[in-house]
Amino acid sequence: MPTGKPEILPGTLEMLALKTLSFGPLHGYGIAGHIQRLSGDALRVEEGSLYPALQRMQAKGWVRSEWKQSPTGRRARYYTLTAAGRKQLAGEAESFDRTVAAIARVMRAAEA
Amino acid sequence: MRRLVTRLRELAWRAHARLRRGTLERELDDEMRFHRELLARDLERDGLSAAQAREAASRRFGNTLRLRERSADVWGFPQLETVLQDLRYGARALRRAPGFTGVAVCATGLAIGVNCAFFTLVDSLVWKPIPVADASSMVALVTSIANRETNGRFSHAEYMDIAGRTRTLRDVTAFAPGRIALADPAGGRRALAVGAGFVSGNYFAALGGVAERGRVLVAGDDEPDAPPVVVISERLWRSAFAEAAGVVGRDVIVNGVHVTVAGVARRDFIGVTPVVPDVWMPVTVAARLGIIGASLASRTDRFLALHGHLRAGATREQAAAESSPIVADLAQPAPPAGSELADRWVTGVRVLPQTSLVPLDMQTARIALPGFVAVALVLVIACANLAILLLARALARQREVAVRMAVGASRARLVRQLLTESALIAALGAVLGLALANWAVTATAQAVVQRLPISIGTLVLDLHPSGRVYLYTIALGVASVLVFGLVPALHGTSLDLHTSLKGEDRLFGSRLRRSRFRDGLVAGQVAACVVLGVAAATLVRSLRESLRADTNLHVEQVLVATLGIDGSGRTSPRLAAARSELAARSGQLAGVERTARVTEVPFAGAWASLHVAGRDEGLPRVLPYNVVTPGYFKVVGQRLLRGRGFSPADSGASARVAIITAAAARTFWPGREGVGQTLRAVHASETGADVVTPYEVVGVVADARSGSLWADDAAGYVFLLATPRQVAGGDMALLLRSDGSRRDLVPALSRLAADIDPTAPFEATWVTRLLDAQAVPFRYAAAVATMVGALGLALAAVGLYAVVAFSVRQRRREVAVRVALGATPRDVLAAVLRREIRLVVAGLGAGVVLALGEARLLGATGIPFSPVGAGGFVAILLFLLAVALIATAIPARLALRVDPMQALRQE
Repeated sequence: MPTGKPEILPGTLEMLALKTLSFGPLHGYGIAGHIQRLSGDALRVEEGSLYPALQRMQAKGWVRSEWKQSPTGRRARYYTLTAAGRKQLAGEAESFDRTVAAIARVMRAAEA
Repeated sequence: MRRLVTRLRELAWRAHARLRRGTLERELDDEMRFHRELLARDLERDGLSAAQAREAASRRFGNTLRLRERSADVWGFPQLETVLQDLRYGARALRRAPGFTGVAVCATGLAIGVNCAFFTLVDSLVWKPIPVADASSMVALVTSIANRETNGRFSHAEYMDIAGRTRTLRDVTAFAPGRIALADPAGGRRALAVGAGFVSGNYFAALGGVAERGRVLVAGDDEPDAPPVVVISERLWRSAFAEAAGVVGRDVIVNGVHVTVAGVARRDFIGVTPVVPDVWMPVTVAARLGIIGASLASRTDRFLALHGHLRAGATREQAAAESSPIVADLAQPAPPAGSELADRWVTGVRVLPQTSLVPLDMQTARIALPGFVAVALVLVIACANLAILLLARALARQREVAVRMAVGASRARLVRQLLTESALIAALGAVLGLALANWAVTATAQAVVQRLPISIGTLVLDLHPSGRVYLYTIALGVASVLVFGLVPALHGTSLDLHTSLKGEDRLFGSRLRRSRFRDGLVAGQVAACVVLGVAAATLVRSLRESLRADTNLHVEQVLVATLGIDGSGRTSPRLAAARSELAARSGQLAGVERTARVTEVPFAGAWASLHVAGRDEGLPRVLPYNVVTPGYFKVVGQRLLRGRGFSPADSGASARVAIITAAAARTFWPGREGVGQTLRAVHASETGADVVTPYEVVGVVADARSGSLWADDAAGYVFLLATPRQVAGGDMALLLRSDGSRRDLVPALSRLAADIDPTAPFEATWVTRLLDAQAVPFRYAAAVATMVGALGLALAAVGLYAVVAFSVRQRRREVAVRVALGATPRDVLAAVLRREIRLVVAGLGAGVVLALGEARLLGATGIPFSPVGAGGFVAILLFLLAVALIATAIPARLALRVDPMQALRQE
């Protein structure tokens, strides 16, 4: 499947999902769509892999889920960020920023 | 803390999820379907056809089945569940093959049991802390003699100085073992001979001993004017006092002296030796009242074992440096080498750790190592066998494995499955082994103790398996799983699915590779068998040799009778008279052929030694010696070779006479008769100077091992004639030779003794029992080695059988083709066996090399083993070869009975 889109970095899917949920409860399709839209369709996600990640995050207590009526009238499972999830997101975002900054510094130095 | 809460919450979630797994699965499916539907709807909106949109949505979504599996990772505990599943599956597989399981579990059980039993024994002696208060700082003080590392004792005066002056040690205690006669003042009953511990007053307090009733000995009890008290053991309280409540304060008679029972020590109090006495009394009181013949003032009467605790911060070296000047005889000039004084010349004190009953040092290691090697070999053989059995089983299960692989089980998963099965075998084996070891060790210890003829106390050895034993067993189990399980599991799962499913045992496929491993197993266990066989033979031979050495003595009809307890060289005149009377009157007793008095009883242990020289210029040699009355040689049946025996006339004469053994004659006057020569005995006098006493050698008797079975007596023995004063002194044992005419000789003697002195303890023991008791450790070692060897051999035979059955099975079609082409079964049998026999021979060769190394290991223990000669080697090799031939031929023949047509048709 040769596409020019970069594979999502391992481990970042959970962070992206947490970030998405920080704006409010969403169902799985909504989360996937949000990530895709905001990344400008630049990140390729095997959309289904979101679900094992959501189960994992539920086990860890970062998100909660409940079945609700969706706007289309079908029942869908909505995920909500918990306090623990918010804390986790803050931590991950910070370490992500640090990593990116560090990588960027190295790359710039290599060009100079 | 917060992390723990998070972790616990996750566990709770997983557990909860496990319970509603069905719901979760349904919900997930629902959710994923919803996702795909929305995706398809959106794609359709973008202009795809309904079918195209569904397909694209599925593609973008991914493999639903795999996603569901990955999601399920957090529902419950999948890793644990896999293990449980493997266990269930393994248990089922083992139940289905009860024969295989039985053999495998028994083999591992026996092998692990043997290892465990040995380790338990070593553990309780070497690693278990000595059961005293504050065992970790406990040290033993020993004197070095003539700069040699001997475990010398201390005199009481030295003890007082060390205990009083030390700054590095605290709670220094003194202990001397002995035997006493314990009598009831009410009379009537004969006194009991019991083991005694003569101790310092602080002995109980320092070692944490407490009383069951009354009190233990305390520091004041050993004061010069303290009233004489004793503490008795709980065992004695039960057996001799019938658990009487009023035992405390009771008056008892110890060696004729009235003392008071202060209390009963608790059963778990052991003190410094595993042989626990029945009576403890202050050593000072015992010496003052003449219960023991020791001198408290003398600095050279060394009979006390000293122990202490290191103070915090002090080292053993400091303690040794501190006490050495107190005891060392360094002020005096060094005595000439070889003189008796040199053997008592204390040059310093060593302080040794005594945190366990036996120190973990090189000497211990040297003695324990061959045992460890032997039992480890049994385990190696058992593991090799199991590996072979499992290989054969893997072959039989190829189809099952192939089917599981075909339906998608990964190889790693299958290996884990097969290893789980091996682990189950090892676990069952370990449990069986632990139980066997526990039983064997306890039973053996009891049997050994029961066979000791004289009660010197109770052997209290804590043989309960410690945590270390369990760890060791687990380690053995894990090691055996890896050794016997891994390779078969790897082999069993490296399959060519195509041929395996078709039911072909590989004909010419990967046989070469797997054979090398298998060949190694065969040759290896044969080699291990040789080593075990040689070890067992060495021990059995050593036992026989040491017991055969007494063929020049005829002691089957000889009794040793003891009236009263020896007061360590200070027999009371009354007891001496009673003994003389017993000697005289027992000689007249019907059934007694003749009697003799001796200072050393044959086979009661190592004899005292005498420094003797043949000529003036020669250095004195140290020889075991005995002081005897003229009848001795006739009583023990030792033949006179040259010259004459002692005659009663000799004792009156001023000339001192000696009889020596042929070996002693060779030692001093090689190539000469010996009779008529002069023997010079060197004694140290009170003043410290050596005194030389000449003895005329009047006769030479046949060589006969007479004292310790284990001591080096190659230089011979010396017999001196007892002087009338020595005989009258009463400090000599009575030997009686029975004429075999009456069975009730011992009771008759006992009645005679009661007639002479009704209160003194009396014991009559057959000398053969003493001999037997000395041989007990070796007898057990030989029996255990034989059992271990037989076990190894049996296992190896089973293994060989399995190997050949396996190999023939593997080559069944090849054999069938050959037979179909006209080969006779004999030809085929020869072809199959040739290879196995080659392996066996290779194993035998390797075994011989290893056995030679083992002989060196045994030699390093310092125990005089009689090594197996070339003849013995050949016999062992032939025996093993014969067993191997039988073990190979039977399965080969059985396999050949298969109808070739049937074997070929199986394809």
